[in-house]
Amino acid sequence: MAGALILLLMITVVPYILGSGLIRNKDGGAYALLFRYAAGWVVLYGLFYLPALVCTLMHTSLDLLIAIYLVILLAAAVYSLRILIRERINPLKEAKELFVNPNVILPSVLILGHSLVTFFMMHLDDDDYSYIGTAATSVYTNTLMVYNGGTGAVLKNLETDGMNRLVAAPQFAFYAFLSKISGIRAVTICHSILPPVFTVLFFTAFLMIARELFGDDRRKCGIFMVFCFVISAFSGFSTFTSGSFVMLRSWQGKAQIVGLILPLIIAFGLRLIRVEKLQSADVIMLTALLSAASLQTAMGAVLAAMAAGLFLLLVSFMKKSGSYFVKCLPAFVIPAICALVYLKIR
Amino acid sequence: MAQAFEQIINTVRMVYGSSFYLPLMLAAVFYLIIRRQSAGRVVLVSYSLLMLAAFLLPIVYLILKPFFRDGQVYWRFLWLIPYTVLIALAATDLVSSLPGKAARFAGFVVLTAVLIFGGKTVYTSENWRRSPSFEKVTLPTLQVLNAINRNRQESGNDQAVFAGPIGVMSRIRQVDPSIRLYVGRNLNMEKLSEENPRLFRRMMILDGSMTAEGGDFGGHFRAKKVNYIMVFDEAKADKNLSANGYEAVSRTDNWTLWYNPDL
Repeated sequence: MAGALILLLMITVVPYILGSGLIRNKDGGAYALLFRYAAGWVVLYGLFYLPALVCTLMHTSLDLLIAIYLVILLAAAVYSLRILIRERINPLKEAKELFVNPNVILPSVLILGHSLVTFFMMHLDDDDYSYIGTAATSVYTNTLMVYNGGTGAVLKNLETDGMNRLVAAPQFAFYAFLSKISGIRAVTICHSILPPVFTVLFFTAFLMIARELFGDDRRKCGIFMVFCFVISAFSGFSTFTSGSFVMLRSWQGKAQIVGLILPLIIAFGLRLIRVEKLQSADVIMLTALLSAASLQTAMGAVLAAMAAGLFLLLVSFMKKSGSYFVKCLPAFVIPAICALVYLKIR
Repeated sequence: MAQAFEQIINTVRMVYGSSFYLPLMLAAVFYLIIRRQSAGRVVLVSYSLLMLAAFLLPIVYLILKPFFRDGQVYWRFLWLIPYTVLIALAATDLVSSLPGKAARFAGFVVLTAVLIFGGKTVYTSENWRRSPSFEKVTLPTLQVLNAINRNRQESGNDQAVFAGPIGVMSRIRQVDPSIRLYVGRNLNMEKLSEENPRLFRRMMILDGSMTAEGGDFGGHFRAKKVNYIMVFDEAKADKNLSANGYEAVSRTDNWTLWYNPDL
């Protein structure tokens, strides 16, 4: 019971607090509750990547990684709480403002419906063999990449064992973290508990794009969200589409990239063209996004960096100012590290 | 270069296949270009077009190939072109531009129908099934797992090295990582029949596609200290396994779990 409560806090309250440090009242508007939540998840992932990468490369214990991460998380939460109190952020008031408008009804029903499908029904995917197997192995052995997560044998060669990608992008360690602190199996967390959460997150990312495109026009945002849902729900013509990943295997790193990270980078790019000046929160958000992308898949780091880089170039060109690009350049260090690690060990 | 371009076109066919979503996306981009634009939409459309152009360039393919597992997963580049956002944006703009509530509602319904009939639903029985548990693994996996753990308790032997059908082996450790596997999932079954015919035959027997008669199926697993084997009854492995010290510890309608107490 205590474990379930810890997990619930970690996947609901903690992201909201962390996100409050990045999303100001005026930026979120009527959707501030959701935007803070989505931003918080990006920060949750982003703060995890470097400690996880270092600990995985050094084959430390899972407990050590968790201890380091919790300290970092605590510091970030304290920083965000100060902002939350200073800005007088009230989540209950934000929830009321979000749901009071009738334009939110149809998208909410569709998204809730899909969340229920992901909770009660099962989608089988063979890729879970290595990712979830490695997360479960890490919890069982309290190690990081010492054993082959798929077979349980001692890892001899990362490449022939097919485990090299997991070192550069240790998403498995995040699920191992959640499993260890809650006492709930990683497979249950990934297959049942998180998919409804991720469904909300992915469509919140689309909503952030909608807000950048349509401003406070909630009717257009509502219509846009319905179309996004329908397109995603009818992307089943191929297992390679972003819609398929978003709707079917939300817990996998690839789905996190297409469903959360890349749409948020688009929202980021649209925001940059709209605002007059780059804020420090924007640079922090971009850094967190690229770090979060690196956690999910090595390829995701490259894709996210390409997307962010192109948006920055376009904005710099349209605003005739190279300052956006220059100020955001440090954010690209983390995906560069990820790419280098991947190329070295592949 | 020609080969690279062919690979790129095959990638597009593989991802968008028989759906209308690619033409819909291109139509959406065209529509957004000819409409009066805000700076945000200019950025979005420019970004999408530049990414599409980059994707189609063979030189870009050749440079990025190492990052996309030697081009095998180049289709992931297409994720950078946000077809969902582009189509949804164009559709929203089109609906909003219609005069009157009735026209807007009709436009919304028509466009939704176009999107539904132009794609394929993800809500199929192939994609979604009823789950026997919140672990969301197959029923045979759970049944075998329960049987192994029951036997571990009864025998007092905690060691478990398991061999079974690929579908079960690929899931069992997600639920219980204390169980080790005989072999990993990374077998390329197409190549295996040529590269390692004996291993291929063993995997076929475990999957129930071949029978164990006339070979040393049980002897091999005994030598590898695999103490739990799940075999479909069609494999007719009973005599072979019994002769090698395995005992049947659990049976269902179509498969048996064998255990060797000496391992």
